[in-house]
Amino acid sequence: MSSESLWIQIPLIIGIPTLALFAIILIKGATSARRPGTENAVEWGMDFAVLATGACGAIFANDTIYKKWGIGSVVYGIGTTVLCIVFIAVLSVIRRWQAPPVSLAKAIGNFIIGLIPLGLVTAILIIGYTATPRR
Amino acid sequence: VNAMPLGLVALIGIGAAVVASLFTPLAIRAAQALWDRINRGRTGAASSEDENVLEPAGHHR
Repeated sequence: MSSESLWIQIPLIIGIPTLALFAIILIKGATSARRPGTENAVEWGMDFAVLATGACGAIFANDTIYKKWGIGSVVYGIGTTVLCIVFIAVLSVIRRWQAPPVSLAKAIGNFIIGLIPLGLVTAILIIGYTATPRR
Repeated sequence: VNAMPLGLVALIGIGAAVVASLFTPLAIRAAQALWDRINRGRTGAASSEDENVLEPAGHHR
């Protein structure tokens, strides 16, 4: 796999979970008992973090990264998965304690926390593809 | 110090902020529009804002 394929992988890794999340949001919104609003953004952030945990598979099952880092790629993969779980836990705590009138700014902030795990996965892929191996 | 990881962290932060600020209002509006469309017939209210609006007798939407 050449390093050019990184620029194909990045839109796929970011785009597919984003589209999947949009579909999930519509399904959840359509079937919820209450009208969806800003208070649901924390749940959507959690869903996005869960999807990012799935995208961690891109680190484990990537030949280029395995050739570069060897067994280290498994360690980075597990580390990223654990970090994703930490972000999901943070969002769970926020959801538990958030007071109902949630401002749009707060909703965006909650959603940003959910986006960070996918950013981590993408960052590890970029570093894996572009960093020179140690000698 | 290698500047690349720091640049990546900044890029991730900025990217997450931009995506979230665009995606969140869009997702909220889309979910609300779909919810309104599905629940309009059941509750008789087009949206939560309309639920408390008192209408004159004989006027039904």
